[in-house]
Amino acid sequence: MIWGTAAVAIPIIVHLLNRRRFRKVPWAAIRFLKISVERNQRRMKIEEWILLLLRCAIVALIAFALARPVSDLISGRWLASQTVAGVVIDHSGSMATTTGGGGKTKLDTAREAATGILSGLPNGSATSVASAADTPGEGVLEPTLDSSRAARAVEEIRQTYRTTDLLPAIDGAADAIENRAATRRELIIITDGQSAGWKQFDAIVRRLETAKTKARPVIVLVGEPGVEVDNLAVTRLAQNTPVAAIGQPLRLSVEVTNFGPLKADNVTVQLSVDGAEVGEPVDIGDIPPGESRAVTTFATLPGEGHHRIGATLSGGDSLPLDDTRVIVVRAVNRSRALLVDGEPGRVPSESETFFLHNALVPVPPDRAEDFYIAADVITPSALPGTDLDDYDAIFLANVSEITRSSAQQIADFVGAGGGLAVFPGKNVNRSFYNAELHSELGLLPAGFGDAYPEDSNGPGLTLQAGGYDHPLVALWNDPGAGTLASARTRRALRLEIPKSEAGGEGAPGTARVVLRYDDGSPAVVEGEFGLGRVFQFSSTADTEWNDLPVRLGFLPLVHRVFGGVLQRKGGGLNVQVGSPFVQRFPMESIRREAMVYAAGTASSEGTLIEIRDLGGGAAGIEYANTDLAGTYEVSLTDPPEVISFATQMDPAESDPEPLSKAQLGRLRTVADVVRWEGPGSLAAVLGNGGSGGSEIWLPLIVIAGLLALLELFLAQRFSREK
Amino acid sequence: MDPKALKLLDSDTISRAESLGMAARFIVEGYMAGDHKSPYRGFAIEFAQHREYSPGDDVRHLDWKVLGRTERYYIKQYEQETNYVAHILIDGSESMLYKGSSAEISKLEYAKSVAACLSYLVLHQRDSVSLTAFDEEIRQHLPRSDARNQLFRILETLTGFEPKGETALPHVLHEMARRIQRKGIVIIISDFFDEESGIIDGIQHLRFAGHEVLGLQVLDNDEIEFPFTGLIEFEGLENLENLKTRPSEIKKTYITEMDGFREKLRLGFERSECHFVTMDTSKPLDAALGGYLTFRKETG
Repeated sequence: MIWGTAAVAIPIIVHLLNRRRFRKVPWAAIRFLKISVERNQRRMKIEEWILLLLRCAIVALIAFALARPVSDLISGRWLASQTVAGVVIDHSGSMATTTGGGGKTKLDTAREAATGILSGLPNGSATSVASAADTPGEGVLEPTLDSSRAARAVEEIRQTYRTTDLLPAIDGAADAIENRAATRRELIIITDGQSAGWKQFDAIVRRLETAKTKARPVIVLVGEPGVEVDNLAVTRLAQNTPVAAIGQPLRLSVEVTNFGPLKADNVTVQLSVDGAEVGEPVDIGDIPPGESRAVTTFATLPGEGHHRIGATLSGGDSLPLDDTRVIVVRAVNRSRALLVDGEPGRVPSESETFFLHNALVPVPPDRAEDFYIAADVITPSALPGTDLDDYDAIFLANVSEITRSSAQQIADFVGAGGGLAVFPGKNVNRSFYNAELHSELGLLPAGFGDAYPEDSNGPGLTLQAGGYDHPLVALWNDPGAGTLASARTRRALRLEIPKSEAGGEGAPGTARVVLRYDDGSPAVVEGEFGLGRVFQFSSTADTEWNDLPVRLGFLPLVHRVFGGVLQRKGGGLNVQVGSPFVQRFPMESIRREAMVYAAGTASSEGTLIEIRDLGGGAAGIEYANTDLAGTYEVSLTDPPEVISFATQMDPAESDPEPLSKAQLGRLRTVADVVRWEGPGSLAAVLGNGGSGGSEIWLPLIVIAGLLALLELFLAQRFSREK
Repeated sequence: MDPKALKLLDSDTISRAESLGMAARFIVEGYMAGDHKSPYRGFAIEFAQHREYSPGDDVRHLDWKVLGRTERYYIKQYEQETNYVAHILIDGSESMLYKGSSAEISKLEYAKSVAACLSYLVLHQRDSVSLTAFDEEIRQHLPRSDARNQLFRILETLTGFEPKGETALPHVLHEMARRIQRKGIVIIISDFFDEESGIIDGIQHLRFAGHEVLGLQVLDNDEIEFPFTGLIEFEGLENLENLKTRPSEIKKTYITEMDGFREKLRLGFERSECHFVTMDTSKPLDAALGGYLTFRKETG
C-alpha cells in the first residue's frame, strides 16, 4: 500500500520531466507570444493542475485498489470482499433422521443450508465443501473459485452410516482456508449437533479457537430445536456360538436400545437369514427411555459358506438406518482338530489332551460322528506323517519339542490359515520353543519364561474376574455366563511378549493378550501368523498345573479358541461402518482382481480392486469405502469365489442426544452458533452483514477507469488549438 | 560579381513584373517621364557633374567634348537624371533571420530578393534607386542613382550585409524623413516587429515630407499560422527573453494578436494613403510581389 501510494509521485515526476522536454525555436515575434501566454496563463495553469490531479488520482486509486481495501460503509454482492469459505457438512448416520413431515432428513436440510450459504457468498469467493463423518472429509477439499463445482459437491453429498467425529474434517477445512489469501475467511460447520459427534469436544473447541485468529468459525445447526426424537435401534447383533456349523443352532444375541424420550412398548425383532425371514418375531418387551434390552435367539444356517443374518425392528421411527442390523457368518460343515499329546498316559483320562478332546467334542462317542467338530489325538512322533491339510487347528499339549521339519510344516499350515493352540507342561523344552518357534519362525507370539509362582503350595494364580477386552472372552463380562476366576493355577510359564509388540497391543499382526491372571501377567496370548492365528497358553491343558479344565468355563473357552481359529480363516467379516474390510489371501494370489459391490448398490456399480501385498508377508484386499451399513459382496475371479462381509453402524450414532447447553455455551465463545431456519437465518453472521466489510477494489478500479477516460477527454480538449 | 548577388534577382519575379509593364502607381512619374511622355521631360535637367563611363551607361550621355579634348570617356550627370526615386529601406535586424519550417529562405533573404527585384525593375525604367539597410540605426546607405551599375552595387551591398542588433524602425523612419531630399517612394521591407504607433508616426513623417510610402511586411509562414505543436521554448531574437509554452494552447490568441497587429499597421498606412502588404516567405516571390503590382495597376 505504501509503495502503491508512492506511485502517486509518478505522474508528478512525468509532469516535471515533461517540462524539461521543450523543443527550442528561435523566435522573433516574442511580443505576441508573451501577450498570448499572459492571457491564457491562468487557464493553462488550471488545466495543468486538473490533469495532474486526475493522473495522481488515477494512480492513487489503482494503488489503493491493488491493496484490496475493505469498507463497512458500502455493500452489494458484486463488490463484497473476496471470501474463502470452508464448508463442512456432517453426513454421518444421525443426519438421516427425519424432521418435520415429508420425510425430509437433516442431511437434506444441511444441503439446503449449504446451498443458501454458497449462494450468499460474494462473487469470486473460493469455497471448499467437505462432507464429514469420522474422516478428514470428501468433496472439494481445496477452496475452489468454481461456484458450480462447489454447489455440485453439496448436491453429491450422500448419506452415510458413519459415526461422527468432526475434528478431522474441521481441522482439514481450517487448514485449507487459513493459508489462503483473502480478506474474509469463513469456517462453516453444518451439523445436527448430536452430542456423540462431538466426542472430541475439547479438541474441537481448541481447534476452533486457533482457527478464530484467521477465520470466523460458524456452526450451523440443522434440525428442530427442543424436539426430542423417538428412535429405537438394533444396537448389537452378535454370534454367540463360537463355531457356526451347518444345521446347528446358532446362538445370536440381539440388543435393542430405546434412544427416544418415551417408553417403547412391545418391541419385537424379526430375524432373517440371507434375506428371508426366519420364524416369528422375537418379543423383547417394553424398553424404558434410554435403556437397552438384549435377547438371545437362534438361527440355523442352511449350507456351507457366508450367510447374511439380519435383525429388523418392527415399526418405524425417525431414524430408519439403525432399525436393521446385519452380520455375515461363515458356516462350516465339520471342523477337525488335531491334538498332539505330549504325555499320553496309561489310560485316556491321564493323557494330556483328555480334557481338550472332551471339550472339543462334548458328546458321547456314539454321537461324535455327527458332531460338527472332530478331534484326532496323535503323539508328537506321528506328527511328521500326518497330513495337516485335513485339519483346521492343531493343539500342542505339553509337547517337549518337535522336529525342525515338523515345525516348518506347522508354520506353513498356520501361514495358510490354520490355527494353532499351544499348552505348556513339565515336558516342554522352553529353549526349543523360544528359539525355534518364537524367535526363528515367529510362530509363537510370546516366549516361555520361568515357571511361577515359586511357592507351588501357595494360593496360586486366578484368572481375571472381569474387564475382558478380547472378544474371545467377552462372554464372561456377563455375570450370567459364569466366571473364569474360579479356576486356580498353581503353576504357569511366564509368557514373555517382546516389548515392541507389547506396546502395540491390539494392532493387527501383533501379540495380543486374551486373558490375564489376577496379578496382571498374561495367561493366554493371541498372535497372527500369515493367514492363521495362534493361541499360546501359559499353563497346562490338563489339571496338572491348574484346575481350569474341570471348570465350567473350560469348554466354552476351548470352543472359542477353536472358533477364533475358524473365524480367522474366514474372519473379519463384520466391521464397523467406516472401517476398512481386510481379507487376506496367499501371496500367490497377488494381482487377482476382485469386484466389491456395496450394500444396496446395483451390480453395475462395483469397485474393482486387486489383491496386493499388504506387507508382513501377507497379501490381500483392503476396501475402505464402507460408508453404508449392510452386506457387501466381494467377487473374485480365477477361480471364481464370492466372499460376503457386513458393516454395522456405531450404536452411538443412533443416540439423538444433542449438545448440552453448557457445551453450546462454550462453543459460542469460539464460534457463531446459529440454527438454520431457512434462507436469511444466517444473514446476521454471514454475507455482507458480517464483520470484515466489503472489498471495494472493483468500484475503485471503475472510478479509476472513468477518471482515465475523463483525463483522456480533457487532455484532448485542453490540447485543442486555442 | 558574387554569384550570391545574382540569386537575389528572382527571374520569375522580374519576368512577371516586366510583363505588367511596370505600370505601378509608385512609378507613374517614371513611367510618364521614361518610356512615355513625361510631364517632366525637358525640365530640371541641370548638369551636375561628370563621372567616368562604366559599362552599361547610355552612350547618349557621353560628353563628346570632353572625349574630344581628353580622349577620356565621361558621362554627364544631371541633377535630376530621372524623374523618379525609389528609396528602398531594408530591415537588417536579427528578427529578420528567422527561417521557419516550411520556408526555404529566411525573412532577410526574402527581403533582400524583394529589394533586388524592385531595384532591377526601377532601374530598368531608368529611374533611380537608393538602398538603406538598418536595424537600430542606419547601417548602410547607397545613394540614389539610375546608373546601370547601381544594380550591381545594390546587389553587392545586399549580399555583403550581415544582420545584427535590434529593430528601431520608428527612429529609422524619422531619420530617413529628415535625410531624404528628393521626394519619391519609400519602400520599407521589414517584419515591422516594433511599436505600431511609432511606425505609423514615422510613416506620417515621411508622408509629410512628400514621400509615398509602401510597407512590405516580410513574415515567415510560422509567424502567420503559428503551426507549432508540443512543448516549445521560444528563444527571443534581438535579446528578448525566452518563453516556454505549449503553442496549441495559445495559438488562437497569438493569431488574433498577430492579425490585430497587422491590421493596425494596415489601417495606419491607409490613413496615410499608403499601401501595406504582407509577404509570406513560404510563397514564391513572384506571386507575392506580382500580386501587389497587379493590384497597383488595377487601382491606378
